[in-house]
Amino acid sequence: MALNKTIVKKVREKTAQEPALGDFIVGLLEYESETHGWFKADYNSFLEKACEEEESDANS
Amino acid sequence: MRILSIDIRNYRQYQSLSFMFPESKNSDIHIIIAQNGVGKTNLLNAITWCLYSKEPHLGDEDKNRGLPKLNLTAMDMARAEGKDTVMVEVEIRAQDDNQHLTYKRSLPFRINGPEPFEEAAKEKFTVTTATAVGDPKVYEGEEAKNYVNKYMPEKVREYFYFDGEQLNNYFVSARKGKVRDAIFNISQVDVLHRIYERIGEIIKDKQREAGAKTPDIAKITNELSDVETQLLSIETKIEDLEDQIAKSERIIKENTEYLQGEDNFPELEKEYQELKAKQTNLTNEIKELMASMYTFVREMKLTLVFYEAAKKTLAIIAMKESENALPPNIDKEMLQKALKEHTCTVCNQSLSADGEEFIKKLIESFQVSSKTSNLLMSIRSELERIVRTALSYPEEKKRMKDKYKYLTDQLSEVGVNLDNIDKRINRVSNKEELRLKHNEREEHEELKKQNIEKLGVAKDQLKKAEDRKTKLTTDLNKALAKDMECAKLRQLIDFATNGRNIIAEVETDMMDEVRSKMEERTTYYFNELIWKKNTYDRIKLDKDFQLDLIHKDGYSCVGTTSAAERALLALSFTLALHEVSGFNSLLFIDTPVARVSDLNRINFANVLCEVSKNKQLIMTFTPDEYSPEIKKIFDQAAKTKVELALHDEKITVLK
Repeated sequence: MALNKTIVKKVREKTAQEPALGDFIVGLLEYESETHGWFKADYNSFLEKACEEEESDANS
Repeated sequence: MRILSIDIRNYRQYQSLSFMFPESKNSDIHIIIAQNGVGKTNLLNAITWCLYSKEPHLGDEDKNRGLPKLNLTAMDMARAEGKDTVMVEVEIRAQDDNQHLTYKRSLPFRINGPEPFEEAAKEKFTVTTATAVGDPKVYEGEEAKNYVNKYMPEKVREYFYFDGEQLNNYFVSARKGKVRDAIFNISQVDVLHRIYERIGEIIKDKQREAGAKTPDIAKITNELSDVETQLLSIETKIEDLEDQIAKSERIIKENTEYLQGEDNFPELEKEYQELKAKQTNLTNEIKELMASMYTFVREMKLTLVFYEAAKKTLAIIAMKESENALPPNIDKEMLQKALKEHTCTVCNQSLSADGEEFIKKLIESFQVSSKTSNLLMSIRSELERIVRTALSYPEEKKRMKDKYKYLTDQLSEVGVNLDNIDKRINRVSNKEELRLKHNEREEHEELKKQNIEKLGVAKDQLKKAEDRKTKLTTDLNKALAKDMECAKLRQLIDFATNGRNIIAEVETDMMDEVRSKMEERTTYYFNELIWKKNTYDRIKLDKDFQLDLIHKDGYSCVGTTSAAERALLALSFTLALHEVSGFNSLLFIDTPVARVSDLNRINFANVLCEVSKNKQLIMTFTPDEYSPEIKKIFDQAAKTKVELALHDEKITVLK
């Protein structure tokens, strides 16, 4: 199912100050708009990557 | 997504037929006209069978007759050609942006076995995808299903493919919750919720991981997990109770609307029965009074005849008495005893001879006079009774007449009331249903009361559990902060928790926004479609997206709308749903105007022409339904228009 643009827009608005958090949620939305079976490993990977990005954003 | 073509082979009435739906810049309307029984609804079934392996639009007639999917003419022809199997196939070609998709379902039938026909193998379903430059890929099984759910999810299929009958039954109570779920599915609010829950699971995993490192954290994490489970259970309970309360409220409201004017039907029936009993009692009382009156008249007749004579006789007696003309009433026996005993019976002294002689003469002289006196005295009381009774006649007669008038007036009044109630009861064609609705309303009023009490208790439990969760989360954060090893995990947990909170906020915003937009757009479409421009004010949707139509005078009137109005409401709701959800899918409506009158059909056609600028619309009509009013509009707007006919009463062909 194509991603609902209104949802993405709202997420971006609410995470304007935390782009890594916005990317993390939009990434999950994109992931969920396709069909997947086991999700935990993928979610963990999204989370760890997003945290790293946040850290690098903070350092820069 | 648009459907480009549908190819049907050997499916029910269709032996081999292709429908093409080319796109036009101004309008994407496609009209199919066919008499009943030619295959309009089975075209809809062909689509749903191809995509979901379901035929939800089969009429009872088809089900009862157990007609096979296999076209019987195709079977005869294949037999004549010496073939063993015939394939039933439906193929839908569709396009979404640059992606081309071909959905194909096939089912082989063995035609030369012991049975006239039987399925030779299981259904086969494939989806072939290709881009503009080619690169075709074929998918089967779950992967193929994923391509169906991506573009035309089965959960919400009835909001894209529906028939006229569905329009009429769109908002029945049983659909409660289903409409809300479908809307959240289409607008992807359910995706948000799924992510929210899944992040929650990840957070729990991370907390457990941290707990494994330090016992304190493990203890708090376990406790937190228990509280969260408890919270979930209370929330589910609250949701169930709220659903039940909403359901009761809806039933109370619907039944109140249904019972409007006949709100007190059971009381009316009770009153009718009571009045009937009163009528019987009064009739019996009047009968008894009449019998008493006849007896009274019979008795009085004799009395009245003798009245004058009795009166005169009494007057004579009174006169004689006053003149002392009547002898005294002497005790003859006492005198005879005195003679016999020669002693005065009064003073007990011996009687002299003269005395005895006087008594003898007295007895002889009084013999006749005493008899007359006794006679007169004996009839006197009867005469007095006759006179007394005769004198009481007017009063007694008046009493009886008054009572008769009172009873007949009462009877007449009861008769009028009975007539009124009878008329009110007879106006009601569906008495049994009224009784049911009334009872159902009473049951739900009681149920609602009980559930509100339970809800109060559950909300109190929820508050306590939430307070406990807040405390445990604070404790956990403190414990994590103390342990440097857990710093990384804490960072992940915090990040995921923030993300989860954002998701929850967006979910709430979306739910409110979707409902508010749905209300606005459904009202807009309904106002465009409905011919009564000054009757309705707006459409309201509750949290379950149950629809309510508000009259200009402020009261709810969805329960009293006509079938045509309900069909237009359903259509307005569907059009709003497509628009608000932003879901790019076609809309297929089988016999949409079956219940819609001529003027509404013009509004209907104009609105759908407008909608078709951004959406593919496929509609089927009978020739009668495709009346001049809509023909004038759709003939100009439609990109394609085909007429179907039944060849040899067996095969659907293009006319």
